[in-house]
Amino acid sequence: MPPKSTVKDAGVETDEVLQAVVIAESFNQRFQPLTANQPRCLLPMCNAPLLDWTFESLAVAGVHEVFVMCQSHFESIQQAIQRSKWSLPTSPLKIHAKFLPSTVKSFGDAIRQVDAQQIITGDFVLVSGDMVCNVRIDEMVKIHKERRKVDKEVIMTVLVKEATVGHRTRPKGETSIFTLDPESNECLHYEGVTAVPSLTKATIPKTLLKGRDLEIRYDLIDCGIDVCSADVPLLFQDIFHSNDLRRDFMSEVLTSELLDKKIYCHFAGNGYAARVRDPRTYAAISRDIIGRWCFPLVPDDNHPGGHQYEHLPGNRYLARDKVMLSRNCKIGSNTLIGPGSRLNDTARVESSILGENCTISGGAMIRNSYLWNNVVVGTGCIVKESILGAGVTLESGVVIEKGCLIGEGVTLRAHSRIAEFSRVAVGGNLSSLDGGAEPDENSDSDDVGDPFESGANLRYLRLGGTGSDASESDTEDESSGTEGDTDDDVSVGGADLKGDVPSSDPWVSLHWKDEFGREAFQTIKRGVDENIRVDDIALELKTLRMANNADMGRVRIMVVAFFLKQMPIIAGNSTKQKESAQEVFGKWGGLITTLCQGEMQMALQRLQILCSETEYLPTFGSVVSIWFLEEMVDEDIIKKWHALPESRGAEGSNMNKLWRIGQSMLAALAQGSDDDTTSEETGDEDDEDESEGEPDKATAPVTPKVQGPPTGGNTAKESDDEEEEEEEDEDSDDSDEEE
Amino acid sequence: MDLLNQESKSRAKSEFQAIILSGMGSQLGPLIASHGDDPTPKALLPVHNKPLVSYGLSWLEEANIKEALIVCPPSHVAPLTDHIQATSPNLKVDIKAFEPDMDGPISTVSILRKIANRIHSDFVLLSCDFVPSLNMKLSSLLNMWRVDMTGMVAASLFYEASDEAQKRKGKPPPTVTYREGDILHVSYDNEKQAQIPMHLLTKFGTCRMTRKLVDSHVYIFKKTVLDVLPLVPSMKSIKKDLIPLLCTLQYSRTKRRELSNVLVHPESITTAENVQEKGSISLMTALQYSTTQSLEIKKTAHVQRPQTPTPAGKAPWGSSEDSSEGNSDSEPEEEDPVFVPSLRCGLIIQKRSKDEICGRVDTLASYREINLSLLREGSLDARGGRDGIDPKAQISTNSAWADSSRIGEGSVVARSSVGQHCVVGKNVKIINSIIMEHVEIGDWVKIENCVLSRHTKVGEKTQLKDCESAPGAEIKAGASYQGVSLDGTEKANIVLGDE
Repeated sequence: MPPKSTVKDAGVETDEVLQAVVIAESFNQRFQPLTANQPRCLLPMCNAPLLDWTFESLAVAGVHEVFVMCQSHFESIQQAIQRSKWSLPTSPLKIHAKFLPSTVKSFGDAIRQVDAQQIITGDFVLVSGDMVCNVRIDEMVKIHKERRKVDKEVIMTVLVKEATVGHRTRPKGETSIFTLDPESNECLHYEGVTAVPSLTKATIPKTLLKGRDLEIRYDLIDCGIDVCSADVPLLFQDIFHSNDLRRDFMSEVLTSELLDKKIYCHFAGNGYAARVRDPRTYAAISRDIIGRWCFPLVPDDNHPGGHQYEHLPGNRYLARDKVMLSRNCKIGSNTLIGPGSRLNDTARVESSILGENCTISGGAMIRNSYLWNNVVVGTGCIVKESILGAGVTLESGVVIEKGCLIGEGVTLRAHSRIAEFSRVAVGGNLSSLDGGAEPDENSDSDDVGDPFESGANLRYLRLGGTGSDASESDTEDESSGTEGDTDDDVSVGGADLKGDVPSSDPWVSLHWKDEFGREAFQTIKRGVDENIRVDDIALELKTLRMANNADMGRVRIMVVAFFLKQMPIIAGNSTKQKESAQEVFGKWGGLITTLCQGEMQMALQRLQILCSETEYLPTFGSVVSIWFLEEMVDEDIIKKWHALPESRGAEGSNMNKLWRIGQSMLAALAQGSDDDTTSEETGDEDDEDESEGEPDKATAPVTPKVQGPPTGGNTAKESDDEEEEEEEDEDSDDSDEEE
Repeated sequence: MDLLNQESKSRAKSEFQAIILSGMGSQLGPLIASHGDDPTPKALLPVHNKPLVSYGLSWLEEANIKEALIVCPPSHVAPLTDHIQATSPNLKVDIKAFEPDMDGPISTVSILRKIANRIHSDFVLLSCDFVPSLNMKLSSLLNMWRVDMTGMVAASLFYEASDEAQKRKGKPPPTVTYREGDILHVSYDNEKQAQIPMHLLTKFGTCRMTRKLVDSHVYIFKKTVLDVLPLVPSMKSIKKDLIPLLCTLQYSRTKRRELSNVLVHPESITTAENVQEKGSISLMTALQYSTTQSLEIKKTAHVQRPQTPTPAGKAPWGSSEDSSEGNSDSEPEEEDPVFVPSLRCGLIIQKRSKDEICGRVDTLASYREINLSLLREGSLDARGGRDGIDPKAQISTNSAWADSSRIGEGSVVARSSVGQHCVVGKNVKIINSIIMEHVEIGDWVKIENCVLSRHTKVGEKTQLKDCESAPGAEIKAGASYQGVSLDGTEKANIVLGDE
């Protein structure tokens, strides 16, 4: 491809058309599986395709002509452009879609293609197709041209924005150190930084220090917007091995003594500019748009998708079209509800974005999540910090932990649980789709040599990952959460036998100071005061527990303590005592069983501990017999409790006394009825799947069941390293069912 | 008024103690060679006809520092004592000899370790060879310290080196990384790549790096820094080891954890809560630094002080953190990140101005440079009367001379200083040179770009260019030298013999 000479003679300086080249191909797989059927630049951001935000930004910036370079899904991008308002005759932009041949494998190749297609006439703006900004780029171009008048060797001006080191649009996995001349802002050195392998020292050649000071900036957001002179594509031809604009091209240009080219940085000042590089920045930029940081690019004014939104206090945006909100639903702040969406009774949506025609059923909770069009969320589902692709259906009781990406059209069966940072797609082998996007060692082989795309590094770019680094010296600046580092599944519902927190005050569970403790107590209290149905209280408590990641043991402790305290002590009269116990547990025992299902022996032990430490000591026998009569516990459970080593207690202690009471009770039971205990069993395990009131199997082992979409009949597969074994189980489950 | 001042001076604990380190000056070549049995302390070398140490002392005086301790080699104690007694400066000066080190050569840190018991407050540490420029005030450094007393562990003064100093070989300037008001990283290595710890960048985001700045060796240290010294036995130099270590405390969490409890005693932190909850402490801190308080209050304050750590030290944190759960065992862990102050290393940068110069007189080159630049400034007080000077001698305005010197007929002195009790003969030309005390120069001698130490005797018709002489050197008549160091009589004779 010989460089064309006419590229250089852009002589008409005065009335030049400002051109922009949009590279609409990302050359990485960070959004898989969401990008399986559509290019990244068409992913919806606040209910409008990213590309439209980019065009909007370019229009704001004073650009006149745009070349969109795209490779995969070329047709859909072309169609999207034709359908958008930018194709109208009134559009301020002239947009041309250009096809990149499949030989183009990197950003560098794409730029070389720009040169080959000879579309550039002068200085141009180079951006990627996933950029949102409100900076006046034309000002930057003006400054760039001034510099070029003085010094022809200036080839590029990079837009950067000052921020804090831990800024959300500056995730740890992909940061950079700019070394600038403090007076002129000339960029003298560039170093890309990955989180893994972590860099301990930044190196700067001392020759740069000759005769001047250096300003070393690690607090800049690289906005991904560059003003380039026409030489840049030519240089890319020369430096044929440079694939990345920053790490290869810039480093090469700056270190090479032969080239002697200069690159400057331009500070965005108060403007906003950021790139959607990964799910993490996707979330950050969505929030920034909702938070009106990039005004005039806001949902309620000139929305790129053509929607009409109403801006309500607390940055709540409601589409003006056909939104149906039930009377009891809750919409938290920083939320955008797309047209045609519907929120049923008691649905909760906080800091999230709902696409078009989404349906959220009762009791569901959506928090910090991004739901694209036509998502259906069933009753009692919990979605935390995840992206749900278009047409995803969640049946009732599905729990999606943070950081998940659910691909288009996936249906998740009732009560399945998706572990943190999972990626779920329709139809088969995800790992082949997935490339290096998964934090999985095997997939590294795809991208040998690019540390930025290594699994370990991408962990820092995941949605919801805190990205905090244990080796870092200063977590003061960052959220102290550490769970983002490891994929250790925090077993939310995992049966935690050690749930009993030792404490001097036996009633401490009723005065827990944390959010969960307070709210759970309030919930139970309100339930009793207002006489709400047991199932409703249980549901509410479960949701609360899930949302707070609280331990099952805590619920148990609290609920047993609460109801025991409800019961008056009638000393010396066991019949009366039983009556009072009957009054309390006859009515509310169901709540205890629902919450402690499968773990009743632990509840029993809890009761024992409480009684042994408080004035309720003489009531233990009565309470246990009532529990038995109310079918809260059966003989087996008492036996199990009896067998627990902790229940026995030290000889002579109150614990031991109570244990002996239980023992005598068991003996009596064994004599009394041998046969009918079995028939009395309610068979907890059997009805779990059907019962609506108990949406999650909190205490049962985690077995997510994933269904294929109705049309394809494929089985969706989960890809999460922790759950591989279970996946196999699940496959066999599915096949069993099909048979 | 005077009485009150006297009283306060003697009784109140002073805010800062000054430590002046006076070394051998081994890089000054022949200038510090001893004259017979008489040692030549670096601190007493004349710069612009004033002993070197007097610059530092008057600088301290100007900043209202009341107490100084000069630490010098044993042999220098006597001459320094004589000098201090003769000049009787306003501040109280103690002189202490440092004993030769058992383990290895003497280093600045080892000296500091030895005199630790003499230091009772935050201290200013400077070297005897520092010559401040006129517009450079120690009080600006002290004021920076006063503003953030709890937050700083050290403060230092860096100055922009002159062009000559930058070009000078042998001592490349350090690579200094700083941000406004704080020094973050200093490295003296000779690598081709400058390195910055990423922790620093993550903590501060942005910083500046330069090679133009030179450490003036003027520091303020928190008293507790002395407690750190035994913990890191490998440290040698304050400039190259201690300061970089203290810098890392600003961003390295592990170092911080190790040393923060040593450097900052939790009970001494004056946070808003502290002031509210234990009024006694804040009152005490106020009293401690008050200079006009009478002895009684000081006494009560001292009685109170040991009590405070136990009851009051724990109470405020205990009540704020643990009242809900009552887990008192994890207390020290929890207060750690909350109450440790920033452990800053403060920095003041002295920009270079055109005609004023500051710097350390630690090499021959810098000795010349500072002398000459002070002559260029031409301060009047260094000029004596014309009593001993022949009316027919010509002395340029940018020269200095002492009252007691005699300059003969027809001699020319330009851009030079002539010390006390010198006898300069007839038709002598002295250009760009430094003549110390008791130098005798014969007739028809030409001296250019030279440093002649005390008791040097120059014979008639000698020509000297770019030379230095050791104390007591005798240069025979009629010789001519260029660019040699004339250290002692024998060598001078040999050189002469060769000629």
